[in-house]
Amino acid sequence: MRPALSDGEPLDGHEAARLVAAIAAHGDRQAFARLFAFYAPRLKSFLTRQGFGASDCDDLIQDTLLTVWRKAGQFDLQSGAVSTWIFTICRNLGIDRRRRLVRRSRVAELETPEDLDPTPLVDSDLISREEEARVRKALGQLPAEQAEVIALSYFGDSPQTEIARRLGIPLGTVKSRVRLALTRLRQLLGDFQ
Amino acid sequence: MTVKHHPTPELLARFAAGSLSPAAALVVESHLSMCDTCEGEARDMTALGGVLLERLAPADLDARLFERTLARLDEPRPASASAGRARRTTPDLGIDLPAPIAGRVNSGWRWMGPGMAFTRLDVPEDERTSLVLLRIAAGRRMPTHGHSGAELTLVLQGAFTDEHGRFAKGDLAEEDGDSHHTPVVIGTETCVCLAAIEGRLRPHSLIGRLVSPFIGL
Repeated sequence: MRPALSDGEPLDGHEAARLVAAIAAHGDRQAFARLFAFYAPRLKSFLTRQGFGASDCDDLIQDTLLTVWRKAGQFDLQSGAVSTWIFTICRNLGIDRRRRLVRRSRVAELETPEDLDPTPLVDSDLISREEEARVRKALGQLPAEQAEVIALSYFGDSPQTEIARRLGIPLGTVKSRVRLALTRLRQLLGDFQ
Repeated sequence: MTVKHHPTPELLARFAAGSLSPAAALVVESHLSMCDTCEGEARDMTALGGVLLERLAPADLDARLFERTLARLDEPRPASASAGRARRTTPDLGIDLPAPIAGRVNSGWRWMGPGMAFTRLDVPEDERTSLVLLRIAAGRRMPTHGHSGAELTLVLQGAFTDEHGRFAKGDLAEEDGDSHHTPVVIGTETCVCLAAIEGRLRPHSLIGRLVSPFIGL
């Protein structure tokens, strides 16, 4: 089987939820292929920006989509936000991988138990499709330059230098631009509440 | 409890993106457990990650990654992780700790000067940032100092003031350098703070100056 669709084809929130539902209902591999085709190349962009090398990226992409396959039945099909769900799975696996690497290199010295809970961060199960749509709408109403500043700073491994380079602005003004853009986004989110 | 000093939007975004060091993430998470407003904003910042993921330019994948993933769909599922070993009993520090750090206490208070004590929390997965609890008696003035390292400080009990204002229970102080402090504990209650200190402890940083001789950095 090949991943259906080109990876450029957009996938809207309802369609994505329908695919997750098909996996949950009858292990639909075509549905899995479509999710993979859309999300895997984007997860690779995300992980690369977080500083992961090629083989870590491949492992984490596989593990993320295997988790989607296995946990589709636990996903809230009525109101869950698929992109946010997949993003948080991948993010948490990435955090977990970095922690294990550090812990393994330090464990002899510290003799700590291996079972400290990883920080759960925010529980993505609580984030609904409606909330995700609200964020999408707010981001869509920002001036293009502010939306770009946010996109670059959110995922960047070395955010400020990267933004300065991409936008051709001095490093010193990056911080205030990011602050301004996020503050504006927050105002819009408040307006849509 | 009225929290007045919140994380900046950038800090919440980095937290939601998974980019913070483990120790710093624990401080932010502890703040979220004390502040509903920021808990909601952290959820928005997490949803932002999902929305931005959709918009990322797709990267080239190894042509065989899909087949390799497909081949693993029928693997037996890993047994769900057990609830974990029973936690060893931890020293009682005499205060209520936020849930995110409750299991991280390793040792009791250690004296570090008149009216001052600290304990270093267990964050073995973080090699860059130290996480400490600091306890300072009412009325005690910390030495004036410059500040050159990133530090996140969350007040768990009591209050202090410095040039930036009054910091009480739930307030988060975010330092990224260039600032000068003369923090003084105010009120009648002993002040307890949770602090993540990045990098090697610098002699001039707020908490670093106080605890570095004790934790060997």
